[in-house]
Amino acid sequence: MRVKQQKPLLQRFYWAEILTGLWITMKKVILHRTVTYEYPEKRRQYSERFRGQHYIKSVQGVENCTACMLCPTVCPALCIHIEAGERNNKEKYPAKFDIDILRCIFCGMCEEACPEDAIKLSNIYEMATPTRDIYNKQFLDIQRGKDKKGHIPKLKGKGVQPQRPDFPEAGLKEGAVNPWAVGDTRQREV
Amino acid sequence: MISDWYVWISLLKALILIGLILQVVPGMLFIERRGSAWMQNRLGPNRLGPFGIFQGIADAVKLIFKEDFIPEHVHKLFFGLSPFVSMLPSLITFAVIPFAAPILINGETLTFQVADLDVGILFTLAIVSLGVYGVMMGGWASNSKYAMLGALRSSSQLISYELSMGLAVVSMLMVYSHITLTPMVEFQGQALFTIAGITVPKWGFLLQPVAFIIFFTCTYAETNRLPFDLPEGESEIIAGYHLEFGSMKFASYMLAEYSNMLTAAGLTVTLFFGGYQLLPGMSWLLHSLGLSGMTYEWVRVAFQATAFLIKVGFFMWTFVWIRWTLPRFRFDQVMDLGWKIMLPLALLNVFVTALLIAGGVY
Repeated sequence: MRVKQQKPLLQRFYWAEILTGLWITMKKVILHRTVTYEYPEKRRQYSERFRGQHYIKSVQGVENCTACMLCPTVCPALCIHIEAGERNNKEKYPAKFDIDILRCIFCGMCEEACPEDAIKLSNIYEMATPTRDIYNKQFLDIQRGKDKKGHIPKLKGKGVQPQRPDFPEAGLKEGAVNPWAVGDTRQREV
Repeated sequence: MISDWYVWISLLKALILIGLILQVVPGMLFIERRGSAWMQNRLGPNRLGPFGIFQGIADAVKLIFKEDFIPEHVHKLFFGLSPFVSMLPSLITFAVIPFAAPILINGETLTFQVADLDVGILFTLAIVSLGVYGVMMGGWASNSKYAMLGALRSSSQLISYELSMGLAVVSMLMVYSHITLTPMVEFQGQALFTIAGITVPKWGFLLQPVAFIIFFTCTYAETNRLPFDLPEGESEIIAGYHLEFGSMKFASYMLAEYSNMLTAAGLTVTLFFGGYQLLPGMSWLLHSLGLSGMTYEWVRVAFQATAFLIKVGFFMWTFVWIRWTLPRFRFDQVMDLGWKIMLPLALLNVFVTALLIAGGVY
């Protein structure tokens, strides 16, 4: 069906509408304002409760996780795989803690379920890698998104300061100094 | 007899003009990209040099060093030839447009245009029409469907709009009663009327507003710029006639487009906006300098060239401005506008102008 539209007189006169459009674009040039960010240099300020890359919180170099299996149970994407082990003092600990990051949907339910405040989501969002990574325990033990005092870093300027994510293949070398580590993560008794 | 002096001066003028046109292209590329970004709340290229002004040069360098790939299925001779056939008319056309009023040096007249031809504006119209051959040849030689469609669209569009453009020019010729461009500009220097000490000059768009609108619209169709860029039509026929071209061949097409724009802006200014006639305030500044003799003449030339370039610059900006404001027409709309609105309007305008001239209004 063809409907004949009856537009207002000013809109039917094409030139008036052209001039209106030209004024709109010129206004954009005069009052120049961007909605884009020069990304690697300037970053958006996200909430501190942003759900980004995972880490396992550790105190005095010992991870909080007791391998209670609550997080793999609650995980809707079934991306957490834990194998429990036992320390010399009969304390339970995760011998293996893998997160299949490609499956993870960043819902944060693992963080909510954790009774020991062990699995956390940092505010790091640069997780793109050329490989299909599975985060292992060594990788997750890095204390991310916090400074040495255990606080989330104070942000200066317009956006978040550049934080280079350290990917497994970027070489988490033995004895590498981690700027976000709390305590000494190198000398951990396992 | 033509003296050696005349030949050398003409050669020098031609070289300066071609250099100028070629320099405009990277500048316009930068303005196009940066301006479009600002209109869309983006930043645009800002990495190379202060404010990103070297982006155009970087683009040019990239295009030069790209592999000059020639597809298997093209007509080799015409494929190689067509970018230059497209580029050449656009470079030639600017030759008759005056930058400043002529001056007398030792009894010889120095004109500020490469060639002060007797046929004037007719030469421009003739050469501009040749531009379609480059597009047509490129589209045909590419031997692909999209390129052919682009070429067909381009030729039909150019022919349709050339008629109205010619008629708009005809009405201007009737008003100016001159066919060369310098007397036309001199005519526009006369006073139309004076109100409270402010003199309004006889600029073409005041004398012939309808002709101006028709001519202005037709220049957009002739240069294949939005809203008439159907020969390119990225979303429909990918890139139209220059789809198969790469590296310097593509750059030549770009060069042709931008120098066509420059010529169109130059013609619009010359015909309708007083050419090199000084902008308001500039003549006051020129007279308050208190110069005389040859110094005055040279300063006047500089002022006139500046005024001309400012006006041309404004129209170049308008090309960018309109491109990022208006969407593309549908092809039947383009044809409707050309044949059903522009052509009758232009004819009517010529008729009414003739009546007004007979009645002694102009």
